[in-house]
Amino acid sequence: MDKKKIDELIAILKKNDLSEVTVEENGVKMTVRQGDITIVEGGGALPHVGGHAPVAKTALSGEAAELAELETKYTALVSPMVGTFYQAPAPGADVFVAEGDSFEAGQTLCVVEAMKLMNDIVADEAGRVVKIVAADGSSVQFGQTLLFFEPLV
Amino acid sequence: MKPNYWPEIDRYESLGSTQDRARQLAQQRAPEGTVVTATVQTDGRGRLDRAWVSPAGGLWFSLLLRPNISPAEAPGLNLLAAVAVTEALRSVTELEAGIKWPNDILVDGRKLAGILMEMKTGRDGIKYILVGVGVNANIDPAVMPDDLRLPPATVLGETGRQTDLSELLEMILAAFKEDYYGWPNCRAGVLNRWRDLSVTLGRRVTIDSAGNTVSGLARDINSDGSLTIVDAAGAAHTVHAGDLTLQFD
Repeated sequence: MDKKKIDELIAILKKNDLSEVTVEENGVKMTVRQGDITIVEGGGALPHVGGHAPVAKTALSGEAAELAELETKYTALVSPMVGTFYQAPAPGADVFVAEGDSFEAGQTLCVVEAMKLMNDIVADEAGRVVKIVAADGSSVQFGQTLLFFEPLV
Repeated sequence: MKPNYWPEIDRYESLGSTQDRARQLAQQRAPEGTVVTATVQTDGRGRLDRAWVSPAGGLWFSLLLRPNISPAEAPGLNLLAAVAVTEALRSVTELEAGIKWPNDILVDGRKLAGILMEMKTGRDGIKYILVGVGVNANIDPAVMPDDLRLPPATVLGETGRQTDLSELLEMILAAFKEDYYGWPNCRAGVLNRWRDLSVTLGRRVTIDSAGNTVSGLARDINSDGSLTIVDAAGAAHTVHAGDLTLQFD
């Protein structure tokens, strides 16, 4: 990823008054946030760096290697906003989907809440959940992978 | 966003919840601005499916929106809704209503009105948003349960007067619509009005968010509507979701 791309992201961030922007290209994920920039190769754990566009190259740990493999094989469902991730509509209720479940187009897969706005994330197509990577009730970032699925035709 | 014609209000005597009815209408492609009201809700709901007591005399409605903005910009609409409801309530009832972050409307530390927003998104962004609003208006305080998370207040109990629910609804919708169609360009102005109406900023608060509890001084809201809390050690925390409790020293 070159400096021009980073400048473009910063411009998008400023123009829209966003707190952060994430792009993913050729397995490299870059997040530009008010005050810092994070670049991850292979989609693994997030090394966090301040200042000007350094590139973090890390040996992939077991978990990161698994994520990298999931990314090459399956489709990632990412969070459209910063918030709290929920797998069920209410505490103690049945989850929307569990790993291994098939789902239909239009079905709610999970919820991300920000400021009492409950965002139901809906499937665009039928599929099967392979792995849920975000923890129920955890904070998630804009563009963070919530789960991986396999589209079914 | 450009102003559209908003359809007639859909009024019902009794519904499970206005949110459920508005969701059905949204899925049947009802237009932006569709409003559903009910005299009584038999199964009113708040955040995380908590029951919302909705007897006759309250203002219970849901508004359907189809904004052309990114999902990440949508939580700010919740602050906008809180400002619209609070300003309309102040104007119609003359009560000193204030906002507890992000969108609870209180009088004297008790809950007068609540807002719940629900959004559906897919790969192409926002499909629709439902803004659910409940105002404890012409309700005898004696009929309100006493085991709620926040003690309740009603307009009738505070003022001793009946409120014209149609007038209140019209004022809320008019206030909301004006800012909504200016969004996000009017964001800075809306956030300043939210700050003026806030009963949160400058107060000691505790927030339970994503399994963590943070206590400290509520310093300010940020451009995305998140709240910055400064803890006893002087560290700043930015909070996007959770249950906030005001501390009374």
